[in-house]
Amino acid sequence: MTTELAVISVDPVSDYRQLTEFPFMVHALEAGALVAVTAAVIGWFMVLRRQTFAGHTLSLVAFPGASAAALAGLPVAAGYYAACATGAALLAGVSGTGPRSHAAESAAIGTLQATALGLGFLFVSLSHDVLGGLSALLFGTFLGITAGQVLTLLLVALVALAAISFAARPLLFSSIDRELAGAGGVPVRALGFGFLLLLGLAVAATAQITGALLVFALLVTPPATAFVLTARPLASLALAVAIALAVTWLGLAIAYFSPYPVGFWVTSLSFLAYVLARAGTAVSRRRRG
Amino acid sequence: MLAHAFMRHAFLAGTFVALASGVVGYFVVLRAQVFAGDALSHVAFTGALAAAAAGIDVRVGLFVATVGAAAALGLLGERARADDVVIGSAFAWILGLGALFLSIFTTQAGDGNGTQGARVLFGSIFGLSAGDAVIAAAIGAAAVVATLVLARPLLFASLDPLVAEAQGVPVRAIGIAFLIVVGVVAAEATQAVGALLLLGLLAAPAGAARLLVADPWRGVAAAAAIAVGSMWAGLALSYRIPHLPPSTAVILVAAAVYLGVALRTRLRPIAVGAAAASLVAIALAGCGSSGSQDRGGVDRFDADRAWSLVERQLSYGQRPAGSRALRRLADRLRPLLPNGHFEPLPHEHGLRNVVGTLPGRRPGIVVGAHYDTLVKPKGFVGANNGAAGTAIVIEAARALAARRPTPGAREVRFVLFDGEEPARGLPEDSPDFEHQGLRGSRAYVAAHPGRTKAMLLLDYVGNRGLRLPRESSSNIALWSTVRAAARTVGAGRYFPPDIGPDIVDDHSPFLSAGVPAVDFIDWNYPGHELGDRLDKLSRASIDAVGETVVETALRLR
Repeated sequence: MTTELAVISVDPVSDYRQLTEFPFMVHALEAGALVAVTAAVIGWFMVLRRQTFAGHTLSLVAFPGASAAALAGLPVAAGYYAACATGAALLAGVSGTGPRSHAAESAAIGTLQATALGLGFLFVSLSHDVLGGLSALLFGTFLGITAGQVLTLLLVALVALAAISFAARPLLFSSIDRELAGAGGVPVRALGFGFLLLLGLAVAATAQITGALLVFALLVTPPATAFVLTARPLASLALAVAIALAVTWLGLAIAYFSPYPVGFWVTSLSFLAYVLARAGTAVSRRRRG
Repeated sequence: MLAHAFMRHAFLAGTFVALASGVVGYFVVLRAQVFAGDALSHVAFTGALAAAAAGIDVRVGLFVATVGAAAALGLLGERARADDVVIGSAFAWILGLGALFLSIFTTQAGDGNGTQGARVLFGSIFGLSAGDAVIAAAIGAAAVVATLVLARPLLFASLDPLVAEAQGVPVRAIGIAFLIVVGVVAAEATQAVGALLLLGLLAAPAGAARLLVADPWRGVAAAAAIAVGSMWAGLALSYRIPHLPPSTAVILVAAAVYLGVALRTRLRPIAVGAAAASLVAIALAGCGSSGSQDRGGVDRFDADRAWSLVERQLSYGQRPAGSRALRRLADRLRPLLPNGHFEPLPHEHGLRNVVGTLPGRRPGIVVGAHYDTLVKPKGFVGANNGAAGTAIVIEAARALAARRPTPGAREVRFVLFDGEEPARGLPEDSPDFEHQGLRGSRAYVAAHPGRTKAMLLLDYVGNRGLRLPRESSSNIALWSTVRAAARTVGAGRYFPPDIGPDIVDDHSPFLSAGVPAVDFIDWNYPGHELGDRLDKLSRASIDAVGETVVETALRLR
């Protein structure tokens, strides 16, 4: 058991060379960067708009979408995008139907989530001929990311970022004070629908790296950490992107040098950053007060 | 259907699991604690896999994790309902931890259980033994009794906590006790429908019951009845349709009932979508099953692991003999073979065969494949020409190593040959392939004279639509052993009674030395083209060849 893995050394130059020695790892790092930026920016607005539940549901819908695509012989990425876009449209349709009792809604959500996961499992077991594996779909993988996938991710990132920067001001306005924005002539409903679609895109992109179950590690935790650290919008947005990038690259690099899965490292690093931020601000507040 | 013992066990355990889930689920939904159910399902996954990684009974991990988490949630009380950002972040991390334990467990388990993760996530109710089923039924019954004992004060405390407290009902203690019961039920349900789907079994029957009847007592009864009915219908459906996993079937039925009820309410849009999806899914599974073939019930070879070994090899890109990529790959493959070691090629600098050994009587058996790829075309990754055979050799070694050898069994050696392809250009361009290629197998035969009694070579063995007629130079008697083994494991259709062309390959040096050898190769596959990638492979083909090789090796041993 001497050289099972690439061995990390104290020499960062040689570590970097080892890390980028194989094309699959370079693709993974590129894809990771694109996903981290998209997820952090869209996730920042999602956390601001308190729509984490929508993100959670979309990520679970991504799983049957991807496995159904694989079953049909289509690219898995196409399944992610189609399922998340459909899910976002459905969610937008449902969210306008007025208030319901909390108990009834949560029973519906639980049922919906279990149905999505059950269907995904059905598709995986139907297509065990085609799929690279259940755990890759649920917990992510950095193997086998192709140059074509990176290009698609780049396009998705560009579209999502262009759309969000175009609508950033009214979206921010309507996220902070929906009533006032509506009264001020902002098309609140259309904005909400458009944002859900963008969220669907971001979830689909993120799920390709982290797996359907771990999407929150990039979509929610980095923005949440940024909000803990600063209240200024632009600063926290930039911070969220920086945290997501750092977490993704570090996670990929550690996974490359260790025998454990990338999903574990990315979720752990991201959660650690959040816990440290909370602990740090708690301490500094106490000192002042 | 009930003539099968596994179905009787599934019905026994399933009935009580469903009963408990229905009864407990009603109060969970009433108290708006679906969130707690969600939390427990995440914890159940991680707890079960932590136990598996530590080598403890999975049930111990399940119960410790869910009951512990339930008690913690109860003690934290209202504060535990922190905002959804915190919850989402923490849950993602818990699942990430579960993925870590899964990977620890699957890499260390000598007898190979790549499917343990799927079992914990999606249940394995058809795999219960009689003892498991009785225990599950007893715990389920106990949870129902406990809930019914708690029911009256619990109902009071749920509907009007302030008045209940004023009248001396220990609201907090009852809340904690109830959550612990939920924890027990969650662990139970994980064994039946899996950690990811247990939320559906708690929520769907209760949601439907609450829409149907307003009275809480009749509601509890209705939830229990819907849960048990869904369980029975799901098990029966899954028995009829072999491709439909039981947990999916149970959840689809429960969801369909809930949505059928909810159709009359404002939840219409989701209801129509999900009901249609359920119908399509069941129809799909039904169609899939009609074309299926029984594999003869033998499952010694882990095709999932073989598949990921193929992926792992391809991730190194083009891997010609002597390249840095191939040497790095060899470093990773060697520990996967039993007693794995390198045998450097004496006349070829930097080339080495990777050899594993199961000790025994000599002369022994050699199972081999080449692990290098072509030098050109540029970018060639050799999914079928190299990687698939290599993966099957490694996984067959693991399957055989896990079995107790019979006394006097022969030695089995697993050899990954280096330098099968010529150092330059394509084999068809090599005027003298026998001396420019086959470098690893020639060196092996020269180094181990008289050590081999029979040799199995795997070359193009993983493609879709695989057909393996007897390669002309292959030994006839040995090939009929292979075909008999294939029929035993239900893979006979991959081995038609034909004769293919005469191919010079890594088995040729063995034949020249008088050793009976056979070459598994589908020569219709374009193995020298750039398109030899993962999408050309079939998990079913890899599984069929893997099972056949394991069975053949057992017969020869």
